[in-house]
Amino acid sequence: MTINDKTLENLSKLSKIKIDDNLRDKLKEDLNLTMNMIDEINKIDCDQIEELSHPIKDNFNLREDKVSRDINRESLQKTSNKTEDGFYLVPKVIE
Amino acid sequence: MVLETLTLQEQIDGLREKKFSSVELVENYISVIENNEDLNVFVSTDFEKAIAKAKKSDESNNSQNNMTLSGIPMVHKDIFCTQGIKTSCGSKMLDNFYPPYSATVVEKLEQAGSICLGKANMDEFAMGSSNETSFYGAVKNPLNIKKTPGGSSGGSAAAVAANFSSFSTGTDTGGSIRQPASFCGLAGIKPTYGRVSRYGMIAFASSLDQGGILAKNIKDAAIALQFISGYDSKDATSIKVEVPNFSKDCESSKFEHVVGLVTNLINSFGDEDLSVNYSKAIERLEKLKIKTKEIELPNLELSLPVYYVIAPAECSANLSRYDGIRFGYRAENVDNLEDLYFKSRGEGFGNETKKRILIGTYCLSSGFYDAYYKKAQKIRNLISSDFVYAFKDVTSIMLPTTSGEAFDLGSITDPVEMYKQDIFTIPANLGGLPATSVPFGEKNKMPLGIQFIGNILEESSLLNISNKFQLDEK
Amino acid sequence: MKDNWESVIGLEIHVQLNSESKIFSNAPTKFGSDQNLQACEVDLGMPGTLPVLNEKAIEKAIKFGVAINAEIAEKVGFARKNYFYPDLPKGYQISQLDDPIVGKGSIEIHLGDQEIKTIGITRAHLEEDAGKSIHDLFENETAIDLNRAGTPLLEIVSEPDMSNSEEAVAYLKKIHSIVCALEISDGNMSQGSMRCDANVSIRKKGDKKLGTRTELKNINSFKFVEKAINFEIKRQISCLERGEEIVQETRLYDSTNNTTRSMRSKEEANDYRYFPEPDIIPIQITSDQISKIKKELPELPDEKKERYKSEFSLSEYDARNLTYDLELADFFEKTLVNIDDPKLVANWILGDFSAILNKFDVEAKNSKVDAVKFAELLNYLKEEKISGQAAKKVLENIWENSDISVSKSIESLGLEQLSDDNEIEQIIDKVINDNPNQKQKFLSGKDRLFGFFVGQVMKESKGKANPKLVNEILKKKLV
Repeated sequence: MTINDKTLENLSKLSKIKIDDNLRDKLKEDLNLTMNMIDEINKIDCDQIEELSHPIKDNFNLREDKVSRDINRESLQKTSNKTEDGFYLVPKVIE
Repeated sequence: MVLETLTLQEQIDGLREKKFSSVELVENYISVIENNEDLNVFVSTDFEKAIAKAKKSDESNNSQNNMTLSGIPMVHKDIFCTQGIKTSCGSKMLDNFYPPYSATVVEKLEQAGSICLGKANMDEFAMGSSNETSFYGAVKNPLNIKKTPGGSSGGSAAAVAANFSSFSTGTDTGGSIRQPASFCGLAGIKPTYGRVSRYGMIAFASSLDQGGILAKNIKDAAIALQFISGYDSKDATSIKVEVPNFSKDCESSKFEHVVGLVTNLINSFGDEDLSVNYSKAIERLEKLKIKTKEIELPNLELSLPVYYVIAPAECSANLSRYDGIRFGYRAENVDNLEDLYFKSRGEGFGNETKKRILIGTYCLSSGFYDAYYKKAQKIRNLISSDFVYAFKDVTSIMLPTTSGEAFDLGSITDPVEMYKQDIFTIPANLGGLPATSVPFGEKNKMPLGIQFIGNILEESSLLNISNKFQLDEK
Repeated sequence: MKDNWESVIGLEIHVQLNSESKIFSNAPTKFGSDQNLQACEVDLGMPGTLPVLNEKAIEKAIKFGVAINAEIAEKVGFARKNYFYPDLPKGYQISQLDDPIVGKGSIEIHLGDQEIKTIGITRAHLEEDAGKSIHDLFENETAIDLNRAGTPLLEIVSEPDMSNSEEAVAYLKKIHSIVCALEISDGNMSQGSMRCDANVSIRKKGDKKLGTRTELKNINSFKFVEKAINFEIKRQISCLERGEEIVQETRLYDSTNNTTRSMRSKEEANDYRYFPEPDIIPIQITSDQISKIKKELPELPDEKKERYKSEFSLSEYDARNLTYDLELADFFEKTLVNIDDPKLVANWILGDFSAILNKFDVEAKNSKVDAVKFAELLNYLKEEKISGQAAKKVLENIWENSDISVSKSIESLGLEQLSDDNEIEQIIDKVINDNPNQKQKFLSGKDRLFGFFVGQVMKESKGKANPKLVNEILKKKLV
């Protein structure tokens, strides 16, 4: 089995997603089915091939260094459930 | 006069000739929509605003701009941000999200004068092939309500099929425009990656996502595509080239076609219905006196595993921004910051989305990156190279859109079976190529589709062959 | 440090580039605005928004690369570095991994009077800055301000080529002078425009293998770099001597208590899952672009130093110290416009002028005495109208009273040089008469007592007597 409880725990930590206990087994099963399908790629030898990360190559676009935006904090912060005095708030972080 | 069944072209002509008004058109659609609420097509609608806009459009209707979409009703997939209008992306995570900005696609269609009737339901974050992963429940196929309309642009497809609008916007990461178009008997186009701006289109897998159009026929799709295409300085991957006149090119006689065929590959699936429909499609090409050529796409089947590494990997990062802090669902009664993250994301995302994030995280994680992500990107290059090679000899490639017709809602529970839905559509996304789906044939009284894949930025030729192929149906 | 240990230090310097707009959005980068007023939807990582790279960020990074003779990448690719933190809006930082814009290069640092050491630079890459978390503003919450999010950063990574805090500080100062000369950053450390992490490890002298290192985070002044590194070296040595192992970890320097302490041991959870940023297609850099930037490169600190040595006949030491701080160099050259005595000006700028800047914690460009006035003051000195001691007093006086002129200051302080032969003679006579013993000793061969008499005369004249005349007359009178 590729993805066991320990792996799942690690993935949950990395992605910060809580996994409900009652879903854990089904999730594990689905993930392993998917990984089995994905493992097909391990049969292919393509060490010499370059990776392709962008379907259209050499199409880079840059921006001029211009400030051109009026930032409306109030409107931007309407989407947040917790702001005060222009700050976003999160539970206290102790460093 | 029955207005809701008219094509986009007929509506543009009718409005110009003042055969009917935009208000009539909008009101007509509203009553059809209200009579068919059980299809669960919309996440949100704003009819009052639509009528107000239609009134304005009628007042300023001068018959000069016959190519604009003035007064034409349409539907947006709920993945496109609409300023001040809820944009949920089919997720509980964004059930409370009213973006303070609009997607470039939305702005462009607004500038062209079209009127948005509502935001169409979809698979959560566009992850799904049946619309069943939506937080708002599955959309039903208007042709048979037991069936899925396909996904992820299921709402967009159902809207056009149910005569709620003559066209709709969709997005396609692995087939999400073409598969629902096929399941609902529509034409759909996913243009070249970079042809349509992704700004304001909520990201699933950034190197694969591309916006496009679903419509009743290719000509209509070409008309609408014109308005959403073009370089956008807000999307660094959008391509700086002039946009051809798609609707004109679609009907032009200037294009010479050589259609690439993969008969052996199709037969190798051992699905008789699939093979029969494909050979019927070849017959139609022959009847149309269009040149064909057998080609090889040796790595096509690897598209599926490659896609299920790359798309989840990209999505795992794209969806990290949903942390409950600046927008979206925020869990209550949390003890600390970690708790806020885990609960907000645990409660805000649905199961399919979680699965994909976990798969993507796994494929990128320390020790697995080379074996999965890097390897997948290498094979992606192989697949893309197969296309480059093929396009030396042909102007487009014909494939089935899907391996079968729309299936019953709830009938596929094995995730991999569901993923296999996209086997024929994914390759075009991996290569960034434009592709259409055209209705062709049927199975169990449900429509099937044929797919044409074009070369990079060759939408004109692609629309032209697709249109020829579809017109012969009549 | 105890003899059998040696320390190995590498620095990672984050330089905020001074573009008008952010690296991936067109929100302003200006420092000091109210919270979240400079964070647009792209900086906030809102759904559907996309990054578009600022061409100035590329240009400024190339400038730096060219200045340190580094290879510039032909292809500049970006990558996502994934981790969750409330001041990192997207849940990933857009950075560079495999294709850093600046490759291997090096700079020279100067130690003591003569020693020169080459410090290798591994790479320098572009990335976006994060926002700020403020922990002490609300009782139960941490407040997030994302104004800084998306500010362009150039992260300059050195080789572990430094062996003590002195070298680390010299290296940091050199980088500071280079980025300031290139005008790619305002270099303001107190506002965080330049921040520094230090990797410190200890090994037995002669060992080839590096010891386990700790990373000291966010040390934001030259002074703290020195203190933090010194503390950490001591801590590691005493750890090892107690037989303990060094834990690879991130440590935070606490400037109030001058200690370093472990930051939440998140190290093992750190799996950044880097992968190529799909939203940004790799940028091609052409050789034309590089040569154009090369041509337009301003004078660099080392070049300036050489010029000062040849053009103004300054010593290596003076030239180097003047060019470490570009503002000082600038002040030097501005002063020279009105006085033709580079050596005198250099001495004064590095001596009393620097001292007064330090005393009031002011940078040269904000000096209360401008270069014109400063030159005027030094001209009085050069023409021997006032003594050096008097000039010092005048400098302090015109610093504190900016509306007063140099001549007025000299007058009001009564510091005009006494150059009247008769008056000086009188003073000298008095001094000789008051010190008969010393006169005897001098005449019997104790030459060194001449200085004593000069001193006494100066003291008697309240520092105003022209030293040259004092010398001349004293010689006559004493013999």
